[in-house]
Amino acid sequence: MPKNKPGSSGGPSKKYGIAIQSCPLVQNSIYVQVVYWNNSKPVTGVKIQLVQTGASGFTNEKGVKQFKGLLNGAYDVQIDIGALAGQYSIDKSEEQQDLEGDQEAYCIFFLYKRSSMRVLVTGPEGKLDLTGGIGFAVASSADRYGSATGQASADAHFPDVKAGQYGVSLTLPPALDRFYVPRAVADTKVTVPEGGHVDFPVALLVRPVPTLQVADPKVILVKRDYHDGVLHKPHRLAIHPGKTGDFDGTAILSSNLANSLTLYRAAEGGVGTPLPAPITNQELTSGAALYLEATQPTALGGPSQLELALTGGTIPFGPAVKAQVTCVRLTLDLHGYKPQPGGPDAPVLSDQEKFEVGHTLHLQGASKLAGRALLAVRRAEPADYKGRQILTPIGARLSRLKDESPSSPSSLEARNNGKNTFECQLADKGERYWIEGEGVSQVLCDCGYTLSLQALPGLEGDRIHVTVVKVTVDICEPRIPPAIDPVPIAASKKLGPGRFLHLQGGAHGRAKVIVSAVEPAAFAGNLELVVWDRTANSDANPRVSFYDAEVIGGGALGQPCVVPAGVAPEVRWAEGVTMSPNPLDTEIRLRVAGAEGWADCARLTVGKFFVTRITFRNTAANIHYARIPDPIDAPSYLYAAPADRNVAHKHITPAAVRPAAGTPHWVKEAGDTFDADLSWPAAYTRAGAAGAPPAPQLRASFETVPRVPGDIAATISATSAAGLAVDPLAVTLANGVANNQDFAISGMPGTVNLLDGFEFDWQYPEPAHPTQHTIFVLDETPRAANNGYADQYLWEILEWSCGWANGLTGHQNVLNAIWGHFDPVQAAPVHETGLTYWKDQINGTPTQQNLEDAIRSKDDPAPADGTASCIVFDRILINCLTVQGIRAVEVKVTADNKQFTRRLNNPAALVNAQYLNFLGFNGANRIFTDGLGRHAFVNGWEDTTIVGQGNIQSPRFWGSHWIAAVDTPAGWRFYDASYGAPLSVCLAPGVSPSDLSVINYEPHTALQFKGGARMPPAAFVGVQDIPLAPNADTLPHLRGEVLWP
Amino acid sequence: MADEHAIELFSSGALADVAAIAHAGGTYVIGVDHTYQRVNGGSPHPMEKTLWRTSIREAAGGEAPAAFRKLPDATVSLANPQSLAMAISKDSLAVIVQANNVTSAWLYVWDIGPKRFPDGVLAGPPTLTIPLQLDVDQGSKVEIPSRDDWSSPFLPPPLWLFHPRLSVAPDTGHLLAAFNTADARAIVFEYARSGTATAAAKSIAYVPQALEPAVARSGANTLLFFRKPTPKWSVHFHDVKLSGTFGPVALPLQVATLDAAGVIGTARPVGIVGEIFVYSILQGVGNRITLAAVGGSTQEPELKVLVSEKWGGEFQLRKSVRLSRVPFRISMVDLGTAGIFFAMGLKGDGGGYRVECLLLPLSVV
Repeated sequence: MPKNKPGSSGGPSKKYGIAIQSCPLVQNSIYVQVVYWNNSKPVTGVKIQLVQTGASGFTNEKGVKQFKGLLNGAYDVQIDIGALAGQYSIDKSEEQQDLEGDQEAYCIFFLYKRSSMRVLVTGPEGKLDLTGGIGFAVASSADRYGSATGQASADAHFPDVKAGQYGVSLTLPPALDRFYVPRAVADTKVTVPEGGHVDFPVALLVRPVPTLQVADPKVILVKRDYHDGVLHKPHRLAIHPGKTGDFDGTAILSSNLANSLTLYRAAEGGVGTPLPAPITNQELTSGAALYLEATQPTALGGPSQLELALTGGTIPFGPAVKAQVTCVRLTLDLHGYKPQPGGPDAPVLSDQEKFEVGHTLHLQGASKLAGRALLAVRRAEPADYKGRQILTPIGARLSRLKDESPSSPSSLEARNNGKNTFECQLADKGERYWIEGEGVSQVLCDCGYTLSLQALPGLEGDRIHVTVVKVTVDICEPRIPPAIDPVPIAASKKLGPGRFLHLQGGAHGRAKVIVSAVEPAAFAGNLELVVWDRTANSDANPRVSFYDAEVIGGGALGQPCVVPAGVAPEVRWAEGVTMSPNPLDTEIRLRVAGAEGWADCARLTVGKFFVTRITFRNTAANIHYARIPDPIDAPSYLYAAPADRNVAHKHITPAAVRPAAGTPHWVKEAGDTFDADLSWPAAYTRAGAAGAPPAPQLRASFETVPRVPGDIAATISATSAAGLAVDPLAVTLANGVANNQDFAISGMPGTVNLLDGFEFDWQYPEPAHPTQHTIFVLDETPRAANNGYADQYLWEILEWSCGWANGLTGHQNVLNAIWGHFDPVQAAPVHETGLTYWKDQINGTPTQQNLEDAIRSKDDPAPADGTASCIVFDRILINCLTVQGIRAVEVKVTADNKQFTRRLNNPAALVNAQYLNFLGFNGANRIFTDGLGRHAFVNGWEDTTIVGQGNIQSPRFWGSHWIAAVDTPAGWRFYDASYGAPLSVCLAPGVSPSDLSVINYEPHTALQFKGGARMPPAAFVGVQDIPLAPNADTLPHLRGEVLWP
Repeated sequence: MADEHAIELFSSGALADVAAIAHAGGTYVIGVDHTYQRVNGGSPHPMEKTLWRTSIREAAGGEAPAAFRKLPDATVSLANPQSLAMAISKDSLAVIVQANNVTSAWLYVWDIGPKRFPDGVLAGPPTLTIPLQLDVDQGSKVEIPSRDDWSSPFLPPPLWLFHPRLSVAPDTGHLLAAFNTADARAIVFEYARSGTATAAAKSIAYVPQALEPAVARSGANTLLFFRKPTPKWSVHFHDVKLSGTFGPVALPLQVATLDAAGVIGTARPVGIVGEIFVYSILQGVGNRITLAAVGGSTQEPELKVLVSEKWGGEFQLRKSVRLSRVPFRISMVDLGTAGIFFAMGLKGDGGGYRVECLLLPLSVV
């Protein structure tokens, strides 16, 4: 039996109260039943009719009406519920029955109480202004309830539905379908009560579409390398991906700049996801911000595109959404090290260099030594991006200037006054500045600049770092005294007069150079000491070399001299290599390797320190010269002035003092030389001499070459191997010159000395150069020389006297030493003085009569050279003694006949000159009776016992002779320098003119007088030997006359 | 002319003296050098072989410079000349020698005839050898302070003579030899030659305080030129040839008439030259006297040439020239229109000597 389902047939249209159903009948029957739908109880009394046969009937108590014997065929069953139709409707589950042979068709009708429902379609949040038809369909989940469809603009009325639960299915027109989505049927359950009515509002769901909000100004600053996310956070642009409506899927964020954009879930940190990146449903729903970082700028021509597309989920969703963003890259270029201002720009530092290492600048000082580095604000990328960029200093340690050269006068005007806001669309080279260090960095890279967009305040697009380093170089004063470390030159004098450094010649000092500790302390680069030629403006051909040690020697450290930066000062030693043509033309410059310009410098002059003049003061005697000696005949050192050495053995007539009054003993030769132009000896009394002679002094002048401007304080002194020293004196060299500085001389020997050619080794206080001198040291203060016509000591006297008495002191010792060079007489022909006693007089060769003539005669041709009479030898002895403070008197000895033998006061007594080869006169009043009873007169005497100073050809006959009376510790004694005769006691001589008895001297020389004699009344007979009177009261005797006191 | 500025003709280590003479049309410079070689002979006094170095000035024609041709040296025996002076008297060469050994000084005369000098004329002994010395009276007046004394193995210092100057009386040909004593007295000897007979020279003047005397004579008139020394002047130690004790000292030049008795009239200064170191006079034709005087300073000596055209007249400065140093001897020859030719003896810086010559054209300045 086929099972008929109510409402499922598309048969006869629904009727209220009457129904017709086809029921074919052959031998068959149709079984029709009518029941109430809600309780299945039979409905009785309902008319049933077979339409094809017209057969009808009413349902029985069982609600059944059976039609039998029906032929095969199709039969329509029609039901008429009559009055029930007012409340009930007929549900025909099977309205047509096909009977095909011996079949019983079953046909059942349900009567249900009629119900209604109204489906109201609204928008998600209320009434929806519908513009198109909406297809409605309601259906019960149970078959027995059936379904209904309809179309309306906003609602649909279903007037006859069975009670039960229904779901609503809507079909939206395209205009709505774009924005809305019908709810799922399951979400639209509504229960219709039997016989009741339900209004069932059904709100459409909004169709989900993605939304994407980009934070203004929709610009991402392109991330730089230094944006490490820790100290320096890259710019992340907030975006807000979202959706409209309900959506249970996810989304994808993509961009046409995908390779340079990274999505982050947090404003800082986190792991990024390169685009395209998934967006979760939660992220879509939550509305939380996501972030984008950019690594490349947007391409030229427009902003970059972001696209957010929904994906997945059960809810139909709308199309992807797009947004625009511009990735802007700002560039702040810092150029690298450039050795010199001008010329091409140095290469731009890499991002790493300019940030991690940064640039090092020297702290600029008043001297404007520090250089500047090039800073350029570049055109932003993309080039068509319009906006403004802002340059902001980091800290306040840098100055930004428009000129590269620190010395440019315009620098001050531009200093930090330049604009700091620039268009992004700058010219090719951008905005260029030169930066210099104005304040010392406390740590590395603590200053610099950042570049940002005005539209993104507080965010950095680029950054450069600079470390401003402070380090100084000091050059020290000379070591004073030796045990104390040299101290730096005062800052005020560092650049002038600076340091005078002596050109090294093997013994000169080195200047201590101190490189200070570096600020900031963390700076660990290398420093370079460079010797700079200010004249050539170059570091070529440095005039100074650096060494590790102060002691001369070792290897030079090269140029530049690399010094590690440290927290403690570094010391090097500078040595002069090449003379400075000009004062202060050399600088020791210090720089940080790779930093423009210089950190500091100290100026110096490599030159020579010259002693220019020396005058010995408080000398014991002036030294005169009749003949300029030379080393051959002057064992001791002497270097005559040019005018006095232009010929060998220049004769000075008359003898003159050297140096002349008011002129120095020692003068430096002009020009670049330490050589002397002259060096005259000087004489001092020994230390401890009686009478407290004036303390020896030395007046000296100095200069530097080149002359250094300003004042240089120098402690100058000198020492010598001879023991003599020039005591230290603080001297100021004003503009390279210090004239007439008076020094004390110490270390004067305590004995007679001939300090021959000793050298004063001058220090200023570093070793300078030696000056060579000869000092005659005398035993006591000299007495008047009385050398002939003047009180003047010849150089030869000092030479001989001090040489002979060298190392001795004391009256007798000195006297003995000197006398020892006259007695015994020396071997012929030449006395050690270079003189010969009456040399060649026998041939008529003239003999010199005073010392200076004798000395000059050394240059006469032989045999006239070096001839000397007794006067000369006597004066040598006398002068050699008196210069040592020993009194000695010149005594002329003549034949005494109570009158002067040389007085020609009696013409009648003239004797023919021919009779006596050297005498010619007497006088009547000089006639005496000799020991033989004769009348006699004497004109001279003959001495044959000895020969004068070894010269056997010296005269034997004398009319006069010169000897000396010398004050010895044992009393006065006669000394005969010509003959070296034994000493004889004499009385203390009076002043000149006065007689002095030479009776005691006579035995040593006057063996036989010569004169005229007669035995009266006979005439005088010439050339007679007249014996010495046996006693002092009778004649003849020698007579002494004091010539000089 | 090459010699208008002083030129060094030769140098010598032992120059006794120098003279310029003119003879037989030739102008000669004669330097007498010491050899210090004793001449052995019968002389009672030491004799030295001296070397005469002679050059003749050969004036070229036109503007060509003059040249000096050195003539062969001659050796001449002289009595140890400390200094000497010479002059041409007619056809003889007269030489006075300051010797101061046994005899004070000597006059030598060689007859040379018209021959050019010195071709052989000095080879033989002199025609005349005349001693020149103080007489007893003169010698007794010489006073030498003890301090100024010197030691002499031969002649006592009071008998020494210094500063020989020889002139010739133009009209008589008499030789006038002037010397100084040790105390600056001037003694003038006049020698009137009488054939080859040896005659004594006559002392015609003995004048105190007349240093470096020189005599000019015209007829009976005699002028004595001298430098005025300071009191107690030590001639020995001021003689720059003998001693360098003082060096050249400038003194005023004076001139006085000298009468026949040897008495001088009032001396008057030749003020135009001021104080001078050395001088020389040359008696020319007529009464013309040329005076050459070196003044100035020792560092910048200046030679002035003055001419007095009339006897006793004032001198007019004709020329002045700077010299390198003060000479100890000036000897002149009048070359007429060419000027005055000078031979000068100078001491060298390092000892020794040099001879310079000079021609000064005269002009009124």
